[in-house]
Amino acid sequence: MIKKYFSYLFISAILASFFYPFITQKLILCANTGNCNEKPILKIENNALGIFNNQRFQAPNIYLAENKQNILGKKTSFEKKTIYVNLTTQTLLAYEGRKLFMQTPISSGLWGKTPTGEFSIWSMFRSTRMSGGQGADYYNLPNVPYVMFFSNNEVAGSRGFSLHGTYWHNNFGHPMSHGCVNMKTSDVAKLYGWVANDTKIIIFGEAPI
Amino acid sequence: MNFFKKILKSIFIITFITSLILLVLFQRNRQIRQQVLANIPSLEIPSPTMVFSLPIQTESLGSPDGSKTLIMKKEQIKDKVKYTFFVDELIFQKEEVLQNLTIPYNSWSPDNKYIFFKESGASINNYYVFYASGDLFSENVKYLNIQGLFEEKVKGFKIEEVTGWAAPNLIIINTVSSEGNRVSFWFDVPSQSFIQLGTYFN
Repeated sequence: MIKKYFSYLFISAILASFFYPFITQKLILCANTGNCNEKPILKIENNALGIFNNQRFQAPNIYLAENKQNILGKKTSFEKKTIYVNLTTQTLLAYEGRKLFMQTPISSGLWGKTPTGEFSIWSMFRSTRMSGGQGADYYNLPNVPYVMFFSNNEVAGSRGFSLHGTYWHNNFGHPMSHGCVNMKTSDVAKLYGWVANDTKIIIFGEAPI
Repeated sequence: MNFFKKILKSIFIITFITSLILLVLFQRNRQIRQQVLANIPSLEIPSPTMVFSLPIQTESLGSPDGSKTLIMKKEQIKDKVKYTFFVDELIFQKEEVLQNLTIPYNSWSPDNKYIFFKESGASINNYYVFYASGDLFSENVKYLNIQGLFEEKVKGFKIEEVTGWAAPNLIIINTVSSEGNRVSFWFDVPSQSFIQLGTYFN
């Protein structure tokens, strides 16, 4: 009898551990379905067109010589740096120890869900291309600036979630992305130069969608 | 029959135990989230920088890429307030009685081509779109009044808020219909037309 119920418990535990990540993340697949599972690369495509919300427009050009390059792993900080992303208020706060470095509105997922939890930055690029969506929701954006990809044990890096700059919309404080954390380019440029190799990103709350 | 009963019983027990485990996991996750939230100070969306030097107040807002700055000067003259807006040079000047002009956080279009201002009124708010360069939309037309154009072109909806830009030419307008439904529109600046959307941009 005990053996029988133990087998029930065993099957239930397996089912729960299988369904739990799917339910909590509501089947989050990739931030950018067009780049899903592709290894991100530094990509600068000047004079290229971007597509978003059925609109075509010129993507801003990027000239690396104008920018200091920040390479993850080469910077150290005396105090622990943490980035908090509050999906409920659509706000980002960056702290070094107890000192506030930045507080700014962001745009999280509208068409795709932004994952919650504690993340580490695993890769940074001054610029890359992001694409995905279908039909009226299709987007293809070259020269996405200041990209900081994050991941943890539950959300693999290959799913492409990141903090990055935004030149195609200006609707911060409201959900507007496919799962990434969109920031004003002038803000994310500062954050890109500030993060250290042990910087944690904590995403929490529920987006107002 | 007995066999099916046994199967059903097994499924019921497994479902029940699975639900219990999931419930425990959700509760644990919620407690962790609450611990994380307790460590964070209050969160507020920053407003544009304000420098007070009465009787003139100055408010400024950088463009999304940081290359330009919109400056608003607010000057009290008797019972009126004189507003002056600059980017590189003067783009707009207005004197108002008991009106409040502000620069919304998402004022700049993503390509720095346009800007919009909010005028808060007692019953309705007006939103004015300008070329950041100060150029005219057409002869003698310096700005577009979104509220006025919306009332003229779209019936059965009331503007609740203009939040920002969905694309370099598209302004997001959140409205409420006469039946109480929340509906978003895009205002396409070059064509001065409104596009009703299926997605509500909260």
